[in-house]
Amino acid sequence: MLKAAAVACVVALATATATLAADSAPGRVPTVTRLVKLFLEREDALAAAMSRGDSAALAQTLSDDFELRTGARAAAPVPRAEFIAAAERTRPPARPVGRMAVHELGSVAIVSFVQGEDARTAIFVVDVWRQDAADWKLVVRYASPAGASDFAIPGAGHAQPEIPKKY
Amino acid sequence: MRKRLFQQMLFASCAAALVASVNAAQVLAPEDDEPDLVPTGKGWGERATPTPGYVTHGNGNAKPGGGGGGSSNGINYHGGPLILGTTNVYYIWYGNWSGNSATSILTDLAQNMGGSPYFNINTTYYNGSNVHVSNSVQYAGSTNDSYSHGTALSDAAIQAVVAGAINSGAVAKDANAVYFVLTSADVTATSGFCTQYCGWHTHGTIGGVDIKYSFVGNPDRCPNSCAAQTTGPNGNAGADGMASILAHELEEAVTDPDLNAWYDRRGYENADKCAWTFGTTYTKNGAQANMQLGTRDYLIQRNWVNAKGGYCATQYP
Repeated sequence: MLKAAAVACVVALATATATLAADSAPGRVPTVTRLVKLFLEREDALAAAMSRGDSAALAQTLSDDFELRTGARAAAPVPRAEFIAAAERTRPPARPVGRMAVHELGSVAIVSFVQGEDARTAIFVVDVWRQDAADWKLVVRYASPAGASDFAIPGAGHAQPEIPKKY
Repeated sequence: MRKRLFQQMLFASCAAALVASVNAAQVLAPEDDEPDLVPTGKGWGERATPTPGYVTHGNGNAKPGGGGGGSSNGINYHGGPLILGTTNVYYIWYGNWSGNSATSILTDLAQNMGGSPYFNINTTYYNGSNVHVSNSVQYAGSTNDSYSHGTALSDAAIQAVVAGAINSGAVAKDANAVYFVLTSADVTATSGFCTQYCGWHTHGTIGGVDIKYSFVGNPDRCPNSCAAQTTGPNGNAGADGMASILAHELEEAVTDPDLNAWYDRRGYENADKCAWTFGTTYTKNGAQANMQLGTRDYLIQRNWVNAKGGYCATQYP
């Protein structure tokens, strides 16, 4: 029992240390398409509004039919009012947004990114934004733990080797 | 009893160590604390003009030194090489460019970039021996590649296109050059063209030489993402859009060719710090332009001046 606990402790520490080392490595250059720049600013403003518990700013950003769906409760969406109330109550700290991609489909933009730099707590987010006159409204957010790159996802088994590059 | 007590102590120590390591991870997360930048979000920081009365340190240059240490100009030197002396530029026209005025517009750009007040911004960057980048660019040649790797190019395929051009002798093997793979509008790059980036640069060993190369896609494929406007001062929205991206990659490839020279604490290279900002513009052929190079007008993004506190500009001094 004692030996098992000690081994578990060493393994957990080694894992934490390895993660820490990876997290502290310098990041890559962010993306530079116009839409990525635009939505980096939008997502940053949204995260800042949540961290302030700014319900007015959130109400302005979220569409009337907004909902949040998380992987753990995929069939139980968090409706708009609850989302805003949770932000007011918990004021989650704004975390860095990175590795963003934007797919524009007419008046809809699908924005994916990773929020947070610590691999253990980072969240992979997919936001669906709808153009509303000259503005954009967030219609739905899908979010789940970012997970590990070796987690088996169908279709993702033959990733191209990544050549280090800067945009 | 003693064994149980020891188990409890072990558990407590382990938990404390884990908490400490988690906290350390959070503490190690990069801080965005550059005082000379106006934050516009997690992605971008820029300042339109030098702050009046900004106090520079020493000769006004950023401090050389590894580790992304502090800098008076908002960008840091990390010890790697720069492209010094004349920078040669080679174009690899990939896909179908027949009848497209891009071949003239972008060739003129490369022929007139050197010596310009715009490219002179790069002379504010230097290596560890304080040798500065030269305001000298030579258009050294081009070749055509008719879809040797299809219409959906992986990163590896793009490197293979460059290697093919060099190894076949179509263009010279030149360590003091930047090779641009310029793709026609029917070609994409599968690692994120149009959704993440409009262009990129990197380096690799080809024929035993460290070759610097870049991908620049045609914004006609995704104008909302990669073109600043729907038309261009030279009447070719795609090519006019490519001009700005090409300039962006060239100035980054010169000042950070091996990805280990000049960039800031967030990883931004010089042109990243001014991406999609153009300064004062004027109208030419129904489109916006901000500089004349040779006989043509272009709308080219600003670049980061590594002096006087650091700022985005279209010319230096």
